Amino acid sequence: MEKVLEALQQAIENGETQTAMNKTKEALNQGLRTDKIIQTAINPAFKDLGQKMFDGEIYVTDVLMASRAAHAALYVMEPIISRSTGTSKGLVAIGTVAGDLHDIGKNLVIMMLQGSGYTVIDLGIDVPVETFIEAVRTHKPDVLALSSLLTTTLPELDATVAALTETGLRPQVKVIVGGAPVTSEYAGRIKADAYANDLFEATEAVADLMHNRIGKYAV
Amino acid sequence: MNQRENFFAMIEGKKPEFIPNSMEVYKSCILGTSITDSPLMGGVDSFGVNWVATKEGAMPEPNKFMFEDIADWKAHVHFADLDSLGIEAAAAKELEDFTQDNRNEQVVNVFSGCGLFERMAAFMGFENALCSLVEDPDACREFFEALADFRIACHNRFIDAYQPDVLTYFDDLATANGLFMSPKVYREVIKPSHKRIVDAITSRGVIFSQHTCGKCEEIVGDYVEMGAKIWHSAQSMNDLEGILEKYQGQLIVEGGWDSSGAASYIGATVEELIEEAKRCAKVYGQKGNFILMPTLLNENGNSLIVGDPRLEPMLKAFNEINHI
Repeated sequence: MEKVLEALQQAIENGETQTAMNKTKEALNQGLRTDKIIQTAINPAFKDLGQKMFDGEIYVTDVLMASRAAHAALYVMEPIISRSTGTSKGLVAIGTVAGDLHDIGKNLVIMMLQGSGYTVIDLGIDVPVETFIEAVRTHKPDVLALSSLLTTTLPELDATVAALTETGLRPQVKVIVGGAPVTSEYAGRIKADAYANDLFEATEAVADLMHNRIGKYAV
Repeated sequence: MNQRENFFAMIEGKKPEFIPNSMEVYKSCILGTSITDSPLMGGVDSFGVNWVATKEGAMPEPNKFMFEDIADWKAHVHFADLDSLGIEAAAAKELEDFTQDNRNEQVVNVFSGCGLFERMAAFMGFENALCSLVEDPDACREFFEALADFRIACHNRFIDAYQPDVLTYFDDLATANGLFMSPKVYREVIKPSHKRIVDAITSRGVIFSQHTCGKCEEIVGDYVEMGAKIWHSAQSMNDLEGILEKYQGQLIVEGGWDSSGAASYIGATVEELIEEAKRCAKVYGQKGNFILMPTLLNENGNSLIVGDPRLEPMLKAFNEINHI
């Protein structure tokens, strides 16, 4: 790997925003393509961070700082990315279900997905079933991600998946669910496609869903 | 032993007669903190932050921040005149039916919500707050010191007004998978002010109970070291058995309920609740330093607030098997 990309990956993992921006500019000046920068520096950074988080070596603060650094790198590349086509890895619509105002987990997943090269439509918090349905109908996302932090709002996950089936939209979109009270067993019971326990798993699971892989997060 | 005697046997590290549950051992008092910290039914708090009521409690209005850079806190944070808030009247109302006989039977536990980190997040949002801990620790420490002064003044008012046995201080610092911040960051940035809060409460002869949800086992030792006698809402993703053993005689673990298990789902049957209560008693209760705290939710919200007909049969069954 080019040294500049190694340095960029390290800057992201260390949460060094300014260095990440500088190294991205340097990489572009060296003629490196944006997709190569994302695939060779940004994605591996998140992969490393995910493993470290899983191993208990880093904390949410570290992930947030890294995510900000990755966003800074993407910000530098944005004018180029927006001129090119086919750079996005896919479209994900995401929201916190009705009755639930929590946005922390959802926002972290958005940061991670965007940092990994996905286009994300944030439907917000307290999202009724009808809005999810309309979003799938209108935007045709590859993946619909549903978040619920409250036990009392878990039935909204079920209701949303059921409504997708009733409206005939279910075959066109993969559904991933997550949030503190959600379990893999529950995700299976409501016939979601995948369950993720944290933001790294969510990113990996979305990648599996995009490629129709039956990965370890499938339910 | 009645509930109170049994509780104090546990606090003193002696063998209790039975495993208590938080619904029966405590007279929990929430109106004081609803005025000073987080309005129970939603609305604007004493700092000007708007809280939104949800089924499981109130929370700061999402995406509405008072400031985004912790360096700006002095320009935005104004501490209320405690004389103007009506803490004493709220305490009198909350205790109006609580007699001396009741005090001889139960333990008075005053809640104090929205601790140092949670308050910071209420002002500036969760992500900004967490990044501030790393990017500008000096400004964070200054903010926490000022906030601790305010909280200590509030707690002294609570103690005067309620004459509590226990004060439970709420500050959530963890997800289900681990701490929000490293133990190092907690110790360097939050803990000094946190310790002042603990010291101020224990110096008044009141038992300090620390509420932290999630997997926070890495700093439970810090809580004990500072003088906490109870860890509240201790959730099952932590090594509760190890902690119960390690801190036997020093710390009461209050919680145990599997908040992601079948007993916590809406529509869980009474039998499932009883099964979970029995599991907690069997797995956690035998060392004499455990209080069961059921997290029972229904379509209206948290049963602690909205009630639930399943509670009575569940507690009845639990009290038949809770002897140690």
